Amino acid sequence: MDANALARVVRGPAEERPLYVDHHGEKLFGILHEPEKRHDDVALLFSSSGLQNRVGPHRMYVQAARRFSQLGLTALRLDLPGVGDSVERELAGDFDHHDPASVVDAIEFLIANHDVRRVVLVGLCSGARVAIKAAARHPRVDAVIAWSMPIISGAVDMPVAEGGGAYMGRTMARAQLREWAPKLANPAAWYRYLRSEKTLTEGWDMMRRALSGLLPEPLRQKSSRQTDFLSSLDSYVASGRKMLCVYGGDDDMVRTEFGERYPEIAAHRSSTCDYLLVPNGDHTYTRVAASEEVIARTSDWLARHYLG
Amino acid sequence: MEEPFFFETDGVRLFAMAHRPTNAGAGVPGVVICHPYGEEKQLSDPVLVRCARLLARDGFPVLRFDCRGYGDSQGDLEDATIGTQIADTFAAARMAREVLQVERIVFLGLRFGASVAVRAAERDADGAGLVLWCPIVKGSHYVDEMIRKRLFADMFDKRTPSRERILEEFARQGRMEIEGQFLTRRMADEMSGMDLPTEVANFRNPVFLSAIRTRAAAYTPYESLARAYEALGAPCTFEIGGERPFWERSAMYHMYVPQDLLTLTRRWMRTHWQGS
Repeated sequence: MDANALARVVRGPAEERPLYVDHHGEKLFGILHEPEKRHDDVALLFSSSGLQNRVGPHRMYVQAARRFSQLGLTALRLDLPGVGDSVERELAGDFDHHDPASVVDAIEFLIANHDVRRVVLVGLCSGARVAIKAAARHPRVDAVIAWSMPIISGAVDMPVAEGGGAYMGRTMARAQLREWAPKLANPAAWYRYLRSEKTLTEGWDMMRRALSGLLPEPLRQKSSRQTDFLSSLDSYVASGRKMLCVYGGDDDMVRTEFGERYPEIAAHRSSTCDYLLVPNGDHTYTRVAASEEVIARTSDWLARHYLG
Repeated sequence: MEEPFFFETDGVRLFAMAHRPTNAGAGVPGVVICHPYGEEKQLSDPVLVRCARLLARDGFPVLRFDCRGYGDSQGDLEDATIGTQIADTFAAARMAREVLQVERIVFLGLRFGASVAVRAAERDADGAGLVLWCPIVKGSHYVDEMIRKRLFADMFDKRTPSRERILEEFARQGRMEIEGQFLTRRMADEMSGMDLPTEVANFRNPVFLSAIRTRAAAYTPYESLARAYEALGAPCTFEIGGERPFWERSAMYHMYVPQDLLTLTRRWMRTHWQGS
């Protein structure tokens, strides 16, 4: 860049600037929000949601990070591998395609370069799942903020990892079977199915996964990725570290699955894990009022725990 | 090599990513990518990033940027008008010339971004070419499309869908909620006034126009835009590329990259500026 270009190129105000985090010799891109008056040694790290970049669905991550940095908290919105402006990588398209090792490297980056001793991980949907797995692997994670974290490994027809199919709990399994039951006896539905690109084998696999959801938990079919996630979540909850779980009132299946597995948390009986239900919130809090409420109440939670 | 930076225009801070090729050909134009409106921008981002990287590998310097109210830039979507989006596009083109050290610019736009690119090119004397992916040719149709999205969302949310109620809310509040953000009445009115085939008057350089594969009748608006350019003497290439929209909600969970559209675009760029 020549001098004239530099004169007009703004480094970014003190509040927001782009940076790269090294991950095994590859680059992960992020935007760092640094408050003018920083409070304490805490930083927030946002993990990618699905295939969405650091901006988040309907700019939710941007709004949240700007809000939290106004409280005096440093925040890094990160593109995980395969997402946004980070290194290219093929992703499986399931809820566990993000690698927790990349989040761990970002945690280490914040600690090494930004005077951080405690990290709060934030994620929506699969971003929350990778946050939990990273938190289970790193002792400096002080809290996890999980927005719409799915406990099941995905819909019955989501990509299947080796060793098992999509895992679902009893509530989802019942709902899935109730949806299918009328179609099983309907010749027209069979005709449509056979004309689709799906095979009978695929159909039977989906049925089998749904039926296994009715079994007791230890007997349910699980892929290794789902086992890894559930053990990470169980160990994180048992560790006594803080967690805020937020679910949308209209995100029936996902929040019900969480409540089925962690009834104490959903009933507000946990001393370390808080549960928040946002009315009119769908899975990604599409309605403006819902996303604003998620951000406002998460902000209150952060203020209570870190600014008190 | 990729270089992220912020730049200021009109008192607003915008985010940009410069993609520098390792081997830039002499005299090749820079490419400025013009993103779509609203949530379509976020959903189509993986494809636009892939496009920028491929063009850079082909030897073309590329600048992606976020207009005010989008992405990592300052402001909210409600701050945006067609005028601000065009102004931001011109600012990005100026930055591309300085940062990427190119003299001429090809505007590459998707959907509403392509419509903005058309208007920007009308005023840019150094515009080398235009790449228009599924441009919004008639703005009133696009506003209708957004109202239908809102109706569908209301139905899905078990609210009684009513076009009359939505329009009444729009008139009363001056804005309408669509996919998590607000479409302002001002922006909707400006969009409704857009009719690209009647607006092109000055641009005479090469144009690449594409539509995704759909019913033949749906190509009519694009064909009328192509004819408008050809009437001016601008060589226009119309291609069908891509199987389905990669800017809609399904893109949240399923990565679809229109490889054929990317291939056709790259081939067109190389033909015009690299002789291959």
